[in-house]
Amino acid sequence: MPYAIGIDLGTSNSVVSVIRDGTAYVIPDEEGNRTHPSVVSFGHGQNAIVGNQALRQMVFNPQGSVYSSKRLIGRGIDSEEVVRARHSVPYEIVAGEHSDPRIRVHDRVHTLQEIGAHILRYLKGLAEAYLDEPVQHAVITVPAYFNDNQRQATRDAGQIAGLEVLRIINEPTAAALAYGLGQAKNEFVSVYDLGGGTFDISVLHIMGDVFEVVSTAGDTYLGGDDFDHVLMEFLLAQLNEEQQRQVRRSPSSRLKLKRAAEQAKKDLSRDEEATIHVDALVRDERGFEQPFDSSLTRIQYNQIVFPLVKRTFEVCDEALTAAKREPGDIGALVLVGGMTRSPIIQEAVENYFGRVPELGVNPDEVVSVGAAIQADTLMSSLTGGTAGSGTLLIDVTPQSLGVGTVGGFVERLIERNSAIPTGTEKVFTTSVDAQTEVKIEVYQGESRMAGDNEKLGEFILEGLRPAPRGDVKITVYFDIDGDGIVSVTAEEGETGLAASIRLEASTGLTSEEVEDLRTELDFDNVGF
Amino acid sequence: MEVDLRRRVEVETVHSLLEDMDYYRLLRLKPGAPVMEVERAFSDQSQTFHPDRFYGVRDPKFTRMVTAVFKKVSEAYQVLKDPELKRMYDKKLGVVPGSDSASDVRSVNKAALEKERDRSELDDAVTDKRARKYYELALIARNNEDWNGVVMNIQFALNYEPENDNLKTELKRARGYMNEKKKKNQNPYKIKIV
Repeated sequence: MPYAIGIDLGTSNSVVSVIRDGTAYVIPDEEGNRTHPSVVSFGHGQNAIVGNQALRQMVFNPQGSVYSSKRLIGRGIDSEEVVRARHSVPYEIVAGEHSDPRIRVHDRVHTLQEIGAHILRYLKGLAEAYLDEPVQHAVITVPAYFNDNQRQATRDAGQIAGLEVLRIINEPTAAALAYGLGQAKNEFVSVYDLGGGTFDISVLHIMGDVFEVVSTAGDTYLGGDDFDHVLMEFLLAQLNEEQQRQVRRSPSSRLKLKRAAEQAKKDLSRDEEATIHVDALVRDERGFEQPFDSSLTRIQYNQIVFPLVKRTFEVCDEALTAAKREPGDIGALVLVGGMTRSPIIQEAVENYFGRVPELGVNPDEVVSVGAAIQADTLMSSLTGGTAGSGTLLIDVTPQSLGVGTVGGFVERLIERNSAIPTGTEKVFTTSVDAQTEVKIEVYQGESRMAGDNEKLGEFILEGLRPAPRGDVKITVYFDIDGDGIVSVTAEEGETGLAASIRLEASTGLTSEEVEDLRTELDFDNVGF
Repeated sequence: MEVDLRRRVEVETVHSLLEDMDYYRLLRLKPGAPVMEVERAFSDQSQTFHPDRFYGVRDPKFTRMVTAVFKKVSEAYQVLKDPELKRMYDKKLGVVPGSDSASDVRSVNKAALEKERDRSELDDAVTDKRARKYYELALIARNNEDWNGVVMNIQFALNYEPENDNLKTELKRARGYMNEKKKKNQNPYKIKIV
């Protein structure tokens, strides 16, 4: 049976794993790193470097290095997240033809799907080198709150990278899967995920094979980077005013100090005290380069980052309230993300939930391992090896799906937390004589007011037969597939003719565009 | 991948009976079975009918059948695990524990139950009996896009419940649409939902 890989496509870092002979392996790069920065760095010849090497390039090539692209994928150019990024990232964000954000590097415009594809292609390559054979199949994880556009864009990125995406699954679900939770039990599980740039907490209800994401809450701007940042500010305060100005003005000095803060943070999760040394950080009054030396105890560190830790528990309160649960109802606790290795986080989380977390899988790798397990199960069924056995994962819709009705309301068609695949149908009728088109607006979200939901797009049923109003009845089928991705088809009631549907106002690429990009980037002919 | 004959027959049989089975039969439960048995039953039936159990099958017709069966199994679960929807469903089916369930299952489905529940939610928006009467008229007017009618009836309802915030919000909204409608001419894209 060919191998299928599990990919945790993260905001800051990505991880790829594979199941071989029943054991999970996390795949390293040529330097032995098991996590790979989700950074794509474009040179002037447009050749793309990904991962740890690209991270090092960032210092020299800030405008050409794209990071945190997961914050932008599948969103609209006017969305809050994109507007915020436009002010804070050094690379240039421009509007694409579907009102989607795109990134311009050295005069070439890249879709977010392409950026994702570069990362996925890199991970695919690592897996191929590691397994010494071509790899085509993958399961990719996304945050539980990702809507249809974001899921679809992620799947398209996989396709552009030359992967057959077996399934898109939720990150917390994958983490629970990696620990083999559920099985015969019926329990609530909390997944506390503190990554590089984001914090997510999910409450899952697992009944045997049914994984229900009961609630999810998060802070998309709270992560390891913020811990580094407050630590950096603490170190900076030890310099005199002139030197502080020097560091703040120089991107490379800032980065050097940030790296030192990162290292100190890592050291302190093992040692009681960390020493900090940065070569040639500042210049003295005579213009000579001076190193920076300092030290930090774990107790000091804990005091500095305490407000950030406290913030995560405010978000946990939110998620538990939404799930109508108390910390004591939680039967298992799963930690995800490198930051959760830090003793202060571990202690605080244990205190909050009043229980010891599941142990044994590296929190950086747990999501990718879960994805690999699911990839292996689906691959077995696909190739007929052990068809119809193994863990069955029943995922649910992340958000309710509905259509806009007159007066700015939403009529809900598929409720949140319905097991997927699922679908429903709805009959629409014309309201004006000789009407030949009907516009259907599709929304995802929980509000009854259209404006408070995410608009997935507009479907226009066209070429209807001209008739008195009310005479033409069109049945519209709304389907959500196993990846949580929505599709809409229509049929005229009487004639049974399929009405043609045009999707507008969606940020997604058309299937032709995806195919063109795949050919253009020609990933298929790289490596194997 | 080839589907084992026994499993193929199982799927085909359930698929052919799909329209005539009530939610309990579909989950292989006794009519009126308690909520706690429903989760287990859904899990068991999913083992048999989840499309992932046939992931590699390259027979579109069979895959469609399995998906249709699973959707219905999932729909049954959604209704029967929700105490309120279940109570409404049981009442419609005329379920008496121990007896056979009623035969008219086609008209009693999740969508119909939800509509009824949402309707009663709307009714909860107003408590006074006379106010509710006018509010109902306002809802009918709203369905017909008769914004003048909506505004008028909500104003009447507000006479009985002057402090009702729901009504005040609805009134403000309806006035907004009334003005909007005045501005615009015929909008060719109006959809009425049956």
